[in-house]
Amino acid sequence: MKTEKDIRLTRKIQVARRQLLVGLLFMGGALCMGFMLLKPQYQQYQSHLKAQKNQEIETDQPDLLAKIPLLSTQDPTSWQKNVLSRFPSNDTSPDGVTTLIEGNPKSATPAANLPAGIEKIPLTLQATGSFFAIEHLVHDIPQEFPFAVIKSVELKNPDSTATSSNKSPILQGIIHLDLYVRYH
Amino acid sequence: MSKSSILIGFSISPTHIGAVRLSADDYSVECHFHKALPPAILSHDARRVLDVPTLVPILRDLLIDLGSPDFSVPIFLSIHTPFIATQNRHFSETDSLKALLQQDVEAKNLLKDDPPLLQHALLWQHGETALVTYAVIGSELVKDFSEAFYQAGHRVTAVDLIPLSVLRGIAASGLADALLQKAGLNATWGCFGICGSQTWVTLLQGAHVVYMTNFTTPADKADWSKSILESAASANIEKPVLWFAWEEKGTQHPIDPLKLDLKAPIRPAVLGPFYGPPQGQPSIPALGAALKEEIPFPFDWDFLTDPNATPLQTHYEELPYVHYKPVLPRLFLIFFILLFLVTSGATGYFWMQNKQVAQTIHQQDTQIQTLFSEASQQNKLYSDVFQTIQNKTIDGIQIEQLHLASPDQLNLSGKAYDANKIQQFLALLITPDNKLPLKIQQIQHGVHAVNSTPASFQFNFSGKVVSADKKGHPTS
Repeated sequence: MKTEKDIRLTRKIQVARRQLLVGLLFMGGALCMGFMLLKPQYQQYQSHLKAQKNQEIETDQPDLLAKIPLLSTQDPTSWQKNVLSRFPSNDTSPDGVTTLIEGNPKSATPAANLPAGIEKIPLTLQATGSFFAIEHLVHDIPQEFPFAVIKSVELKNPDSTATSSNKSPILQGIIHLDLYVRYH
Repeated sequence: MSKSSILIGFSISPTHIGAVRLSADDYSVECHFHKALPPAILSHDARRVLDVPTLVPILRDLLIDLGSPDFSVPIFLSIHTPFIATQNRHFSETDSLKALLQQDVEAKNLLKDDPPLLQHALLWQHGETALVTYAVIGSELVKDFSEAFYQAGHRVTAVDLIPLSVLRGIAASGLADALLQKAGLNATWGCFGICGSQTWVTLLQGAHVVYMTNFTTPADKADWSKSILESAASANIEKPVLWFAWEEKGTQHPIDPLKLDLKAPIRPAVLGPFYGPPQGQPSIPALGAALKEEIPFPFDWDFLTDPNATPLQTHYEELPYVHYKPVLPRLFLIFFILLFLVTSGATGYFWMQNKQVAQTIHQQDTQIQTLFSEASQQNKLYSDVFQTIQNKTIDGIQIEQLHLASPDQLNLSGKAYDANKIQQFLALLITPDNKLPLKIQQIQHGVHAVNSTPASFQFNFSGKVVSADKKGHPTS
């Protein structure tokens, strides 16, 4: 025979169990709803934090950003691979133009009015060849190297007797560039 | 306390105030209604106007109307509790009612003895009081019924105890057993009346005997009763149905459930209908007569008058009343609200952050786009200047120095053996149709006149940068 205390306890347990089940269902629903609402916002924000931590430039135009050379502070060869190798060498340049590039990636300074992470390196390109060859080089720069901005061009004719194969005077050109790069 | 063969039940509901007198002597059942119910009582506003001071004289008059010579008989007083004042004042009102009723009865010497007035209140899940019953005796049965429903998990919001009090008297008198036996059911006891609740199905499941009546019902109760019967049949509620039908002036005619056009067959055994007189004070002599003729009377009234006696041995366990405090649902509700707020806040926070990020990205994209655009434009100007000079160079002109400090600052010097060639070169450069992509502001130096040596020249162009098309025409 159950005592009054037993019955009272049993009933309380029954009621509590039922309420607990209903409550758990509500909680589960609420958690699922909250998770669904929060997940996309949270993931987007997490990717932003990750990009900030890695000092990455967030952009909706990755193709455009990819045109800016990405240099690594840990890899000294990245300067050679990503910048110097893209300028025409003596072997590949037309009309026998000879180029000499002077620039130091360590002289990079933050670029004004550009996203943090994009830096500017002054670069000097010395080229020796005919007017046509140098003009061709100047012409190619904006097409091949959109991350480089020509600041000035100077042509000299130190030796008026020197001529090229087509008897054009050999000129010495100095092209000052601003090179924009990224670091990671 | 003397034995009695009389049982009196009071019933108070929003639609009526009635009294029933059951007699174990002649098996008669007599019902009396308050003759002059306040109009408001018949309306839905009754619960606001019917208060204890109004109620007590009515009950007293009904007692007198019943004509019982001995008012020490057990009295069942059932009250449709929401009917008493407001919910919030319920207990105080019923306490007042109890006190006032007892005081009034004692003052008029209507109640010679002082039978115990018992009170049972059930406070249900949502805080409303399902029923409160005052009874001189036998109220444990009400409690049993109610507890049984409660144990079964039903949440009763309204129970009309009129038939309960009446039929509980029948049950207590053993008539219910007799009825059940007559119905061929092997039940121990139990009657239950139901009226006015949408939870009647669950009530039916918990009831031993379904009591139905158009006792005091408004006209639309016919359909209501019909729907109950149909649903009971559909729900396979195999309960005997006691069907009482009265003809009352101004109400509908009695309903015979057997003649109703029910969608579902009636499985419960239906006893009755027991018709009362067509007009006047309703009674159910037919029931009493039938019972008197066919049913033995195994009832001992002693327990009714002995306050220390166990009213009835039921198969229900004596269950204590549990006042359930809905703590868990409230906690879950609070938790849910907090979770909703946190979720909303976090979503808003991330949304704001992401909006700022999107603005930053857009700004950065614009800056990068501007860089490429300006670089492209400026580089093209350099290229155009060079290409123009290259195209305009004529034989005999030897360029010795060219300094393009910026696209709008050009210093050009050279030499030629023929001074006219220099003039022609300059003319070509500044000819409107073939000029440099420069807006020439001035030529600072012209051609130096020489004699035997090649003539040298130095041109200084300066001006605002303009772009030129393929033909050298300025485009801006």
